[in-house]
Amino acid sequence: MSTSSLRLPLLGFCAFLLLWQVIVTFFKVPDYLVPSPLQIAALIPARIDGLTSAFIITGGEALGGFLLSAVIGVAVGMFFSISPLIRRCFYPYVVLLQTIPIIAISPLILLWLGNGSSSVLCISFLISVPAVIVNATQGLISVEINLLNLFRMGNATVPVILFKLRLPHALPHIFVGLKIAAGASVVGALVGETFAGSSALGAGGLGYSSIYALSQLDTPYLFALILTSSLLGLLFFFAVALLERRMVGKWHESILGDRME
Amino acid sequence: MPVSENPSFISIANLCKEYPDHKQVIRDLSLDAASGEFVSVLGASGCGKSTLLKMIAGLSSISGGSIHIDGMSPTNARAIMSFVFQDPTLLPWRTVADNVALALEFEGLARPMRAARIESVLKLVGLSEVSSYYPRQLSGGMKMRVSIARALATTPRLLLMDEPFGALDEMTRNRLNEELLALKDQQGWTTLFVTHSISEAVFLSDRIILMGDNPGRVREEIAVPLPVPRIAELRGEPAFLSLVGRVSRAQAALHR
Repeated sequence: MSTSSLRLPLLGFCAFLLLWQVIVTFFKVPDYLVPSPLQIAALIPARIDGLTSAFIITGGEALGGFLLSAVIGVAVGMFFSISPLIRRCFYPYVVLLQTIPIIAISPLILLWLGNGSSSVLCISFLISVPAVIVNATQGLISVEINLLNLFRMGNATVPVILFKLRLPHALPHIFVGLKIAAGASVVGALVGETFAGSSALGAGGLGYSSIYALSQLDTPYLFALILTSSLLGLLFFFAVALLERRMVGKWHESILGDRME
Repeated sequence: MPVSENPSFISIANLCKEYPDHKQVIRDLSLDAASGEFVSVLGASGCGKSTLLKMIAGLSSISGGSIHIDGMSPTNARAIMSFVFQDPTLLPWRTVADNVALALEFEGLARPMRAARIESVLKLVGLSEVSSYYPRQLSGGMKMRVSIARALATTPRLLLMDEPFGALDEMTRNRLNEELLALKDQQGWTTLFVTHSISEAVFLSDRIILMGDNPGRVREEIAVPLPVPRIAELRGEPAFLSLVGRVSRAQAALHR
């Protein structure tokens, strides 16, 4: 996006903040319900240490969950693409995994892994991995028959077909999955923290701190935490989008299309 | 052109193809081609002509009969043949040069030796300038040229072409027909060319095989005794036009 196309949305955001400030001031809304934007802005520098450490903890958990789903998700997709038998046996369960609310199994994860980051990472992984598997598998198996015939004419082995044909062909699909997983892994980490908490009282990630702030009716800080969480989600999404641009931008239509506008 | 006095380069005898549901696609098909000969297979869609080509390439199993290419079975003969598909089948993430390189990677040619071969074959099809382009930046005709360059990079002795120009406009198709013949004169491969365009078949071939359907088999063979080298002007000559007429009538008779 160019700077000129950012100008109007930015203007809209400012108008929204202004309206918020005016409403809160005019109707004298108490700050434990809705703090004003100025109040939140003033709070952020004062409590930047807490926000930063929460950001790093949750960011680390989400990054761990995301990387794990990227690696395992693509690997599972590869097995599915190599063996139709394995695919038919297990693929339906991956789709099913998407429909299971992970919240429902999180108590079990707590039982097995205990409170703290490893449980959170695990929940983040479970929430984000199905999207990677499903999209990677679709990409890996949707190779045109004549391209496969071309490789067969060259007496290409299964690994050659996998790495020179299926995997590059699947990259745009894999990135669709990774973008979903990027958002989901952050959600997973936040939700995970509300369950698994933290190993130290009062000091934890964004999700844990939110619950803690709520219990103290520290609503302005809660808003600051929401803002920080959104920042984390955005950061994840744009990191993946940037990687996509670098890896498939030169040849794939979806990216080249944007650029022409 | 030579009409197989020498032992035939391609020898197909009593070929049968049956699908698992017992539908017969090809029955008792016999066909020979001499080395260097250009043979077109002409037939309505669904008559099994593409299947025939895939069987020769070892991409489709044989239910009966035999196929020999220079005495070898289809899979063993892959080293000496190239397949040009209906669509250009280029890898969109590879540049033109790297797409051609793929054939050389399959062949196992050492990396340092690839560049020279790629350069010469791209020059042959007139694509030297676009060697660093990605397929999406090329027109349909150019993509097909890359596909042909890739097929020729391994210096095959047999070229199997499955309606390679079917998706192109007539002008581009005619130009590529002329280029293909010029390349063939230089390199001397044997060609088996599947098409449903009668004028294309007459322009290119030494011999035309008419295939009937249900099940597919050879119904008629028509020699094309037109002079070589064939140039664009040939398409306006009475001899060419009368042959096109003859093949059309023969084909119409099959479907009556």
